[in-house]
Amino acid sequence: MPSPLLKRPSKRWREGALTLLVSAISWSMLVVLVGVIGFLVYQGGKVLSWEFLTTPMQEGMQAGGIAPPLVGSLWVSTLALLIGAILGTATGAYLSEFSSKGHLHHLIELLVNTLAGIPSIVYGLFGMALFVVVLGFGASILSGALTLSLLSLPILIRNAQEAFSSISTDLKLASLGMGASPVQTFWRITLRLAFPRLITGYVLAMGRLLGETAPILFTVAAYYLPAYPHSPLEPTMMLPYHLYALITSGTNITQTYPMAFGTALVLVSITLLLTVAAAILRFRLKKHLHV
Amino acid sequence: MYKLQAQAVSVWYGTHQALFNVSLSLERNQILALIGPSGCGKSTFLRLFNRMNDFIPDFRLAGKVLIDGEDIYAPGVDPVLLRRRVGMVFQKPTPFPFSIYENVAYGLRLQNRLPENLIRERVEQALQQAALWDEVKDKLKKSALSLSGGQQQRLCIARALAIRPSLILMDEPTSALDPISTAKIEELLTDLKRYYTIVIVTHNMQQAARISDYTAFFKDGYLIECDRTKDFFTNPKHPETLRYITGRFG
Repeated sequence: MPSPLLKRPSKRWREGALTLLVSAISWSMLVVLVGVIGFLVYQGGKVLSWEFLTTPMQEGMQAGGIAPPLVGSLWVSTLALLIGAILGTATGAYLSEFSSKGHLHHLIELLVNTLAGIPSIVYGLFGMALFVVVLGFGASILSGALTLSLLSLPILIRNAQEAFSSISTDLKLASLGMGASPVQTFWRITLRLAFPRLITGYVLAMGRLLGETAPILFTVAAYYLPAYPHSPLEPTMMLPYHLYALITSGTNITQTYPMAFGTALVLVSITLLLTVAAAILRFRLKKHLHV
Repeated sequence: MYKLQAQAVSVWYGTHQALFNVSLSLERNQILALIGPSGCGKSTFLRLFNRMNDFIPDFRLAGKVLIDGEDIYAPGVDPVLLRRRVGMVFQKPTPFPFSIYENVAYGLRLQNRLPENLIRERVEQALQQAALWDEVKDKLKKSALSLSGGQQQRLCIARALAIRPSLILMDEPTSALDPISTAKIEELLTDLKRYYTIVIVTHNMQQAARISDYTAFFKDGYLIECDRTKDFFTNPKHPETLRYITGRFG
């Protein structure tokens, strides 16, 4: 029998119950994730093969692979990420490191928040009006990538802002105290140390961009174009839209159904791979930086 | 000529006045200790000499601050270039998460491209001056964060020395350290005095008495008394100083 000082109070069961509840919920999340992927594998796993990934569609879209939309998706998302990362990181750097927190700062913050709340189909519409029509890029990889990069901007700006402001002020001041200019301090300390976090943000944004459908509908995605693009001014097929086409437009659903799930599985796998790659890269970079 | 001089300096942050009409001079190769209760303006005063207060919004200054007779707040003075001539060591050790070598080389790499062998030479010299060389010479490529707190602080001193400043500012450099590391740094300071002028903020009156040539006592933004350290502690002229050093407040 423990002494009264050490005796477990009877209310302690609440703590146990709460811990149990919270862990049960997080485990069920894992079950959901595994369930989704398991379902995709079950439905689409049988069509997966090297040929599926590397050959074009055949017999309309009822046979063959998904190489053109796969290549198209990678093209558009990579280009979109490149544009978005440059603009987003620069804006994030301004907001976090260089702005004097005046009116312009608050205006940009407001715009970023608004941008984040706009439905993706509206981006699609805007992209079509501006890039496709007014700027005359036509339905093309460039138009699609520009539209997607706009969509990725709020995420990338926030990501950069948080990455930069997470770097300790003491280190930034130490650098300034050494006689580094604010710009030198940004390049040599802030950007360098924030790099692992930036990269993670880029990769997660890429995963998000790969799956976007609405913004590419009117700006780049071709319904059926079994060829590989030769220039950024050409349209291309893309995975999300191809998936939509496979499910909704086929006449031979028994044949296209597994192909649709195979396509979905490829999309999800790329995102998963990117996430894992980001984690590894971040780990490596951190080790390299001694942080 | 004095190494540094403050002439009727007042400082405001917005509407808050942090320093009132402070005047003080220091000759070269001397150590000046700034003491006083928290919030008395001693750190603000220290940071005048490398213009680190400039980063605080709404900072305003009246009066003159001179280093080697030159007004460092005159129009046309580049604070970045000023900071390359004035070393600073902060309260918490702030090693960059790079290698030991790159930490000390940091300031050297900010300026014109120096040949690597010259940088290596200056890094070794700085580490020797900071009494750290023997402890780290075999692991220069190791992370600076692998060092102990006291070693990290001496690394920060080495980093400040590497750019060969003529003036070193220290803001409570030992308050986060254990007594043995503190003793090492104090010993180091008395060595460094031969080459540098040092201004040090300290919470520790014994420390001020042990290492400094001059002691200045601040309270509520006013410089109450500044004198040769031995006179300051044995024969304070101001009753406030006496109250403070005998531990009656603060």
